[in-house]
Amino acid sequence: MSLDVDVHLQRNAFDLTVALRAEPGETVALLGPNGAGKTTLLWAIAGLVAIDRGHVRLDDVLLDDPEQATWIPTERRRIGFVFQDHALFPHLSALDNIAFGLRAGGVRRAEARRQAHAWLERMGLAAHAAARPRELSGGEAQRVALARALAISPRLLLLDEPLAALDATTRIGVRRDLRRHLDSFAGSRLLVTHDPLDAVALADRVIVLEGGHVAQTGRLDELRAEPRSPYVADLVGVNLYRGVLTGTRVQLAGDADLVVVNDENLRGDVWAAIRPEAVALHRQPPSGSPRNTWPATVTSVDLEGRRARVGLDGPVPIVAEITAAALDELVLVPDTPAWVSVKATEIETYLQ
Amino acid sequence: MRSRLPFRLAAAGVAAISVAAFGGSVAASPARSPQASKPTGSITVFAASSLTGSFTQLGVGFQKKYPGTTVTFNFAGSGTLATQIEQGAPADVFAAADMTAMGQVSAAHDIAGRPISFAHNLLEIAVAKGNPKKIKTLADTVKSGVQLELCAPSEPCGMYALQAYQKAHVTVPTVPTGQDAKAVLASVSLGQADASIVYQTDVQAAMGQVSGVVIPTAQNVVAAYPLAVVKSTHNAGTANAFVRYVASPAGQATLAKFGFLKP
Amino acid sequence: MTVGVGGRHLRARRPPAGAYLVAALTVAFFVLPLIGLAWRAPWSQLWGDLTTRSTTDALRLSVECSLAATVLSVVFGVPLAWVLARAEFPGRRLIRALVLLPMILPPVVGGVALFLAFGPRGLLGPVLESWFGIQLPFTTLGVVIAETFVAMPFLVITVEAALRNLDGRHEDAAITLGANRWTVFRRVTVPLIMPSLVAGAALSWARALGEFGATITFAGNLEGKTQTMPLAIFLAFESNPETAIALSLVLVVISVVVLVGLRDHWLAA
Repeated sequence: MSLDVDVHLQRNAFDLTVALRAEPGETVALLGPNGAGKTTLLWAIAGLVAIDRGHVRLDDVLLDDPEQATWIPTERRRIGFVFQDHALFPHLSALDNIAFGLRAGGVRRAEARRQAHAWLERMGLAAHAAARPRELSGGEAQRVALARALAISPRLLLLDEPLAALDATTRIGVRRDLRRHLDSFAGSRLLVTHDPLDAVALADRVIVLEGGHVAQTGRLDELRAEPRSPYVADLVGVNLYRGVLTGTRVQLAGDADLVVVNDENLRGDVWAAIRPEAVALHRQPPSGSPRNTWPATVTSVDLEGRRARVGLDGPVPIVAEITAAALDELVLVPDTPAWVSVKATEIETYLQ
Repeated sequence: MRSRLPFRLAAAGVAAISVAAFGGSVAASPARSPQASKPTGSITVFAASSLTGSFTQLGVGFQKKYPGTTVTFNFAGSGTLATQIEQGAPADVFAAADMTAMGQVSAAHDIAGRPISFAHNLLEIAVAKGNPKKIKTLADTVKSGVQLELCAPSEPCGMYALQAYQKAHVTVPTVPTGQDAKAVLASVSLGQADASIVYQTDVQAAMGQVSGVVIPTAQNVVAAYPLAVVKSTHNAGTANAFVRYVASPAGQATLAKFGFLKP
Repeated sequence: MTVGVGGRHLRARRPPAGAYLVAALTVAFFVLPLIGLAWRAPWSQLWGDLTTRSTTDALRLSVECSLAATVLSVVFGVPLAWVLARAEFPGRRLIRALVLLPMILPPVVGGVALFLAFGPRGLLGPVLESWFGIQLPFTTLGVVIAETFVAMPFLVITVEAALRNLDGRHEDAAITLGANRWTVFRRVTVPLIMPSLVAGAALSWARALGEFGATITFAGNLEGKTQTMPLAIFLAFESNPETAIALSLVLVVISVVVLVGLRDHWLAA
């Protein structure tokens, strides 16, 4: 039940080139901005769209390989698909929705219904067996959609933004349940989401897709340590800059540059990452050891509990995270000046 | 497949009937014909819809006279019937309400022999019941204060009406037209129009819903109704018998009841 | 709860007063001719007129043929609508225009065209006759053909629009669950377009019931065989206008009964 995919696909001037693997028992999250190609990739794996070049292989069974003229249609791939907005059949009850795949596979109606009922109980929805999808809440419907996909004993589970249509409170509960069900599913699971919280809660591994290409893969803590694209940096909440490193100076776009510590003696095109907590703000030009200081203008202030995120414009646009107490002390308000300082030791540099 | 024998009988039978040109009259007694047996079987008669009442009666009379025969009617506009016959429709007899339709079929060589004229019709002015506007002549119909309606000039009754006005030396202003005689008659009976020019058979068929004003013979136009056996008939003997029946005194009497005149 | 709020409480969705006024005038426009019919109807002789052999024949023919035409329209029209809605091929727009042509053609022209195609001297007529022994003009089957010809476009256009507007995700979901295309069509697509299918079938049936020009031209006006109600009314108008009005009323009543019987919820999603 391992998945091996190498997809090259062109659709309306959009190019998708992704290679990935997933092992049984593993949940892989596909993160990325809208239009990155995440859903298209799922469709290619499910066979709803054909690839131009490459292959899709599941458990050593070739599902799609244009060069070898191999194509297994969707209905024979036994891949469970949970759609965004559940896509439950509106004219069938929850029970019959779940039984649909079983009956399509030749199981007799009574037996299919019995199994469907078991799934409903597993989801805690036995009371809603006769309900139509429009009578279910968002969370309930999504659970039914999951049960429907799992009922056919698929070899792979694909989930397309399963929590996107839910409100914040429901999402938390469903996410917890989803974790439980995913863990009990023996095959591999590919989950598309734009919410990093989903990735944290549900996935073992993350693949970041941007503009049809893989931007970065790894565990979430690895991504946080070394983000390799503005999108990922934004995702994990890190300030990220492109520059050229020579010695201990990183030349950024424009005239700005940063002084860094270069223990490994790297040279060339690098990423420079600064955690918001490492950014210090002052009313007056600071004195002392920090090597990177510059005047900036406050653009935004977001208070979250006892911490505040302050956005600043200047030679190096940056986001700082300070305590609420510090915020009060500094009296920081949008369109007022402030001084930024960052220690050289707090700047991570790594090759692009 | 059709046998050739009835075809020959048909040709002989039709030749035996004194076929006159349009406007001629039919001999009162049935002509001699070398027919071997009495009419039997079924025939389909294509007849103009204005002949519905009269021909349905003729059918009844014919079937009574010759038990064992069945007459089925297909009533529609003469033009439609002509087109159908040209395209090989299974008709045995064709009775048209105007000569153009019969001419169309004749030119396509779809009729056996030549058509006969089986009835004449005359025009009549139809006015509201009781003739409240005191219309007495064709000239009265174009007076101001009288709403006149005529058949469309492409229809025979419309053409004939214009001819009648010409004969009477009356100028006809632009007036509304109806699609056929029944339609303009209905206008009068409904009060939409004060007068219209239709056939005297139409006035009679209106059964007291309108009154009629006779048009003098000098100004009137005679409409001739043609009848013919269709060449591709599958029952020439009975088809010819029907044609003869229509021309016979019995048939003519039936037609007279509906207001038709002798041909 | 994802159930939408509806019914009497959706005040913002109600049409403004002006729309009610226009609607009332439009309803009057449709209803007045029917009132006119009822007003002039010969109520005293109605029963006599309606129980004659020719009337019951015409009624029976009308009902049987219009139903048959509706069934044929559905059986052949749905696959056609499916192809027009979903398949990509050159000339698709041309084919759609041709299929919808009977809606624009004067019915008599349609009848003549059918005759030229299937008549004894037409394109296919002789073949049908000699190979299959089938004769279409002037037969009851011919009536069904003529009515199907004019009625099917209504079904095709309604179902094609419904298929186009269908959210493809449900069919995608069905396919991922292992259903083959026929099962998807049968158990997902058709139930989802059922309201439009019913509406299209109702339109087709109504059109077939009222068909005159193509029927009289192609199938003729033979009592008991091809004389449907509209033809009988046309003929009655020639000799007895009051009977014509009586027969027209019967047709109106039947149509109203059937169309009113089409519950709202069959036509709503």
